[in-house]
Amino acid sequence: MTTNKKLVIIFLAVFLICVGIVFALGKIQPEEKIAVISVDGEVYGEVDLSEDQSFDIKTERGTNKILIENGDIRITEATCPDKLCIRHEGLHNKYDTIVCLPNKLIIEYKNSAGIDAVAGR
Amino acid sequence: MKLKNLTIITVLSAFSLIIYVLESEIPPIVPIPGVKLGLANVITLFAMSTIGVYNAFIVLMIKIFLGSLFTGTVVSFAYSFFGGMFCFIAEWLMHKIVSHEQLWAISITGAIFHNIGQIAVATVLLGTEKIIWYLAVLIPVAIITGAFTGVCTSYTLKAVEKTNLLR
Repeated sequence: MTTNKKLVIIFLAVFLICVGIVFALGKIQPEEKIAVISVDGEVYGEVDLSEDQSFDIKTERGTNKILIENGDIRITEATCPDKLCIRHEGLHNKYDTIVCLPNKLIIEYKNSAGIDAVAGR
Repeated sequence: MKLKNLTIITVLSAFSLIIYVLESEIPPIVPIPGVKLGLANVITLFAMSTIGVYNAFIVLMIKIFLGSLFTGTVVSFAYSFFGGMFCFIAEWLMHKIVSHEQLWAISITGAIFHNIGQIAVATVLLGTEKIIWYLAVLIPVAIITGAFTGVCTSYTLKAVEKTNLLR
């Protein structure tokens, strides 16, 4: 087999494995719909997604406006420059996360959070 | 250092900075942070193929330092630095294993490791290792953009060879 073919196969394999992982993880739903919000690696608070509500999260780096309705959580406004956190529309599966990198904000479901492990709880 | 090399380094650094700054002005197409075309890597690969690895490294360092000065914060400097270093080392190793016929493969490897470097920084800055799973999304994208920039570089190299500019 030529080097070319070997390389194509390797990269194709890596590609397919990654896509497979994303698909498989994407099917898993969380056990309980409680979202954990963390800022700068530390837990800011937990929210039960069954009650509609909205609130602001004000941190040193900026503000993010959170909206919870119909069991979904979204960021509706943010002071960050890229606004990517607003375009990400809610937590679709257990491992999904809404991230606002400039404001160091992460929203994820309770039991998939790496925060508890890192904080040593 | 030979004057010719110095001049080429300067010109390539200028190109690299222009590409980098312009690319950072493009609004993200995909709602995933950190996904970009990585066109600046064309310059790095071009430099590696024409003026040698050491000089290419100089071009990269100029781009990282001045580029971050022009467009970013200390944080974006960290992402740029580690992304660039991981990318460069990976491309250098790959280019020792594989000949320049497979420039596209060197480019893809660089793109993948650029993302790995950035995720490494993110893991430290955000304080959670869960973000490593993000690589499952970033790597397929890196493979595609890496192939694209690799092909661009190949065409650029062929065009420049015809002009005898670098002889």
